[in-house]
Amino acid sequence: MKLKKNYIVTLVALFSAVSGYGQQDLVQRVPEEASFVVVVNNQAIVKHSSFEKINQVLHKAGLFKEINKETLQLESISDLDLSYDRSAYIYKTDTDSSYYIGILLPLKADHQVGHNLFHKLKPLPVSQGYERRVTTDGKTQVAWNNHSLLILTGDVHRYYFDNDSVAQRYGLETQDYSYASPSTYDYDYLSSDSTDDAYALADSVDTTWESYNFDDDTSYDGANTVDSVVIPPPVRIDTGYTDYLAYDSYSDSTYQKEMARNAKNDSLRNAAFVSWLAQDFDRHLHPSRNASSHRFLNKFDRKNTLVHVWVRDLVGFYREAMPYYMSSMQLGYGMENLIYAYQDIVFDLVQDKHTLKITGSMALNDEMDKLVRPIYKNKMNRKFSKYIPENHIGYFSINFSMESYLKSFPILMEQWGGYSLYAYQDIAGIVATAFDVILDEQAIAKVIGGDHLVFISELKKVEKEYIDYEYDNDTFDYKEIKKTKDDYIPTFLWMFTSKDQRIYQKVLSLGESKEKVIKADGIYKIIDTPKSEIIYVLFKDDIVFVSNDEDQLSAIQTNRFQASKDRNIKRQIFSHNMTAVTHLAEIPKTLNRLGIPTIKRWDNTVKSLSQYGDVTITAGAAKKGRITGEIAIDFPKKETNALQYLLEELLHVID
Amino acid sequence: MSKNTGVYTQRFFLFLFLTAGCLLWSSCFDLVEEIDMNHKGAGTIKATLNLSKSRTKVASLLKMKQFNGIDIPSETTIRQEMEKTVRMLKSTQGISQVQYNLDFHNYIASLSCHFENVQALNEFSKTLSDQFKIQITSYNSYRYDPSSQTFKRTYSYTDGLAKEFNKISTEDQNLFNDAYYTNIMRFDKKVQSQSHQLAKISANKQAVLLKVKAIDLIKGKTNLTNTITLVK
Repeated sequence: MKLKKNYIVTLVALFSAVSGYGQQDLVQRVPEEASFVVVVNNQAIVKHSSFEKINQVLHKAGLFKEINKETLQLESISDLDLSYDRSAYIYKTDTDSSYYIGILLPLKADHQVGHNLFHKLKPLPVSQGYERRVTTDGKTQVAWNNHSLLILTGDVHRYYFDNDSVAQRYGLETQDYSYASPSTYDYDYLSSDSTDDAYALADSVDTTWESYNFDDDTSYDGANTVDSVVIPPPVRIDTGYTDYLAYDSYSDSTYQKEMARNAKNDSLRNAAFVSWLAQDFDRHLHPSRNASSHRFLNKFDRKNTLVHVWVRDLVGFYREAMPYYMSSMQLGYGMENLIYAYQDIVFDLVQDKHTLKITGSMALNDEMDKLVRPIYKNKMNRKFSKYIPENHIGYFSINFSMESYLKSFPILMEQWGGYSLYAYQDIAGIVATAFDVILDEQAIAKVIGGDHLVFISELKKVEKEYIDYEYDNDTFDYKEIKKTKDDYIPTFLWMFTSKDQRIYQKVLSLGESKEKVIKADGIYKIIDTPKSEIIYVLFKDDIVFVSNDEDQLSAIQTNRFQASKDRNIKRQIFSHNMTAVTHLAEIPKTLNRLGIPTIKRWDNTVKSLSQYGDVTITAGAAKKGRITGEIAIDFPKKETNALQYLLEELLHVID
Repeated sequence: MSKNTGVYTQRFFLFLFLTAGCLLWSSCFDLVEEIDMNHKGAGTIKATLNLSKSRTKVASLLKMKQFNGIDIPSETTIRQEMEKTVRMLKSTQGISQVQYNLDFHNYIASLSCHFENVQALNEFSKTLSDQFKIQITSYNSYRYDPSSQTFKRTYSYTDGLAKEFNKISTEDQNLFNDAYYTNIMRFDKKVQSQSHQLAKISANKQAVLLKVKAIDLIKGKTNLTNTITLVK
């Protein structure tokens, strides 16, 4: 009986494995060495929006019109050959010589992508059940089976060929102004034989590939991307009285030679890439090791994450923009020295009811983690919660350990400053040591803590000065006089912990003696400020309060302050190392009262802000070797969720 | 008095209004034009644009690169343009003691110079108007006849500025109710008479002041034509 049961279980498992093979998550097809992967979570997108609305947007944007021009009759995205029950992937792989971008799309049953999308491409031999095609220029290949489609494209890294030996190996002409004789220049240099010889030389990153029959691939439509370089003759312009060559100043032999050299080099680079792509395509179609092993590539909330982005490391991300040697040449130090401590990064676009969020996290290496973890570890002053204004436009809080930061500072300076100062690494070391010796971190942290909270409160009516003129009736001479008018200004309240407030009080006392500060009822009034705005300072318990609203400080001092009871604000402030919140609904009223003009095309947008919630930016503590951050926008609750609202807005914008 | 002195000042401020763009929308301002002239036709002119009442609005506008299709110059650009204007003024024959002040705290701009004769100002005015290519201004000219000691300002309205003004909302147009243009003419002789209904003569009889709403000038409801006759 037990044997029979096991037999059935085995059969079911086998059946599941076989039937599921074709429908597997396409992450299995993303090469392990991918440096950058975007996961488009079709299921979540479809769940949170609707085909109808997406179709409306695409219709209005004219997408179907464009596609239909290409003889494909489309009325809806459901007519496309794509399957929306699995995620699509976009990835990038890099070598020192080139990069590939792969697009993996799930296909629906009985699709016709070969006919619908790729009928103009040149067929290649079928490979392991995959139909394959290649574009005219050979720089993009596609392959599909019953379940999925791979589009692989890319290009060379041009800087790879800047190296003389590489350029020589691939037959590229390096810039040499010494050859002056046009007669020595041969426009027929690109015979197919010579190019074959050139790009048949191995790429430094892969020296084992077999020679690829490039001629076969490039001769199918009569076009040959490699064998000829055509330089168009200068255009003749008929002016009515004489003929001359357009671009006359560029038609000299040096310019012509430069153009020919560039064209030849481009052609050779392209030829090299075409051959590399042809060689590497199978490895992308059937990667021996796939990216599913990357923990944070697969770790995301599948129900609500619309798009998930994973970057292997910051170093790789940086390499996309510039090769290391170039930064060393230009900046005097290699950027990899500065960013090596930051590892994989993830970003998620998350739909959470009426809120859209972009969340991100980045891994730190052990060294950096040990360095920054104590900085993030700090208890924000709980008394702050008693001074949260009831009405405010937004707030900003930051919370870090000043003492740990000051202790880590010399090490950070030695690491970063040393590299950035390049020739002064020793000096950076000395300065760092000096800081370490001189600073009493604990004492400084008592003077100014690492917990700061700033509120931008509601606008306050104030009398503002302006210049007017008073005319003398006798002569009509005039003199400037100061008048006041009612105006609104935003008020702020900044508080931070200070257990040793002596230095502030001494500085303010000095200001008093110079008649730049007035002390009244325990509140310091700083009257000499650059913008003539009066600033008030109050010390209460272990908190320093700074504000431009005397009433607020007076209320705090006399325990009359009406604090907000909003638990969400307290949660935000006390649970994150950094929070920045703006209540969008307050913006239209604020702009109006301040008299800040808005341009006409923003009118509707500004008016609609009154229906929005908050924009919240938070950064979290370094936990488990990762630092985290989030940007969230609360959209109006007019539609069923934030994504639906966005689509609806898009429809209006297109209109 | 120079025919073109007024044209020059008007054009200079139209530059600030329109080329600089943003100032038009600051809506609450005072433009004071002050001319001190002796009976030979020489004198000084000082023009002051005071936007201090609209400081917040001007400060916001200056932070924008463009507002409703009008390029908003930066502080640096405004300074550069002012310096360019001053250089041109200094190189104009008969113009001297050119001074300017840009106060970006209170948003007050002023420009003054001494003029020796009408010809110098004519030349200057032509160059300046060519540079700024402002065709929108209403035509304004001064004429001074030393023999009869009659000073005449001729003003003819064109609707160029009104067309620009009509592009802004009625709500914003109403804000211009608090914007004024003031013209003060001082002489070294007593004024016998002046013809403008809204202008008044000073107690010492040597100056004439005309203060009008900017919105009335823009819409053509007020005319600045005036004839001032000095006592011989």
